[in-house]
Amino acid sequence: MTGTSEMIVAYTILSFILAYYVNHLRSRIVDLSLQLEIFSSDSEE
Amino acid sequence: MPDTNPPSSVRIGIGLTALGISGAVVTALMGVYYAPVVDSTAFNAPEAYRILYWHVPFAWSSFLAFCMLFIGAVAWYKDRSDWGWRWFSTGSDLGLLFGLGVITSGPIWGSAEWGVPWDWGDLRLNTFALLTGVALFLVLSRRSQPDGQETRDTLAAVGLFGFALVPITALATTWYQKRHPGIVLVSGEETGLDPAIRTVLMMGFVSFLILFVGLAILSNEVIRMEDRLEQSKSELDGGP
Repeated sequence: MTGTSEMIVAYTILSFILAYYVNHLRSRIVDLSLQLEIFSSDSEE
Repeated sequence: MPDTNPPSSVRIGIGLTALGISGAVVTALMGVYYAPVVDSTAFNAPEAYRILYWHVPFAWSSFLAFCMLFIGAVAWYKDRSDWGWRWFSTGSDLGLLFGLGVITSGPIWGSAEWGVPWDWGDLRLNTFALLTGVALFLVLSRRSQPDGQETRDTLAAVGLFGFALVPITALATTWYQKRHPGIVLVSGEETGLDPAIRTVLMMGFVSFLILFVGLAILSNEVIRMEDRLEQSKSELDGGP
């Protein structure tokens, strides 16, 4: 046993953790920008 | 009228995050294809050691996050400053992110190399798990508790005391090394590294540092936008 499968599993999990957080930030920024835009247009009216 | 365009800091954060991720991918590829295999007589699972090219930068990044948390907590107590609370919040988020990476990849390597995923007698493993537990507590508490000065005071106090685990964890392998390997980048007869391994590790450190800064900028901006939205809502409701 050389540990190749463990290495693949570890990199997969770490990639998933990073991708999850980056996507979380992306979706929060998109959502908050949209909400701020709605509030901005409401206040203009 | 509030400006709703994404600020330049978001664009800088996205750029740094993309650059950091690219560097991390290159580090992993170099770790697998460029870094030499370690002595198979000294290691039980010589290929599994390549996990360390991400595991170690994850750990360094988590310590940076906990330092950010500490500075933020101090700034919050000193001036009740908004930037201090944003640093505290970002530090706890990133501490949890990178801490989770460390405590999942570490046991995978441990199970291949040691035959057991965890050693309850090892100081570094257990203090680091506690540190990640503190970050998890802070993140969940921020999400579940109403935001206010009392909540912030309480969580900042937990963060300040939790930070005490950082120097203990960092020096654990120097004071009391049982199973976790010691400090790897300090030169010496026992810890000297192959130059290729050191190069890939340093590449990982720089890449994850850039990634950390990018994520910190974006996380900071998310918190700032949440505050602006709350302010807009209260203004619309006729509040203060």
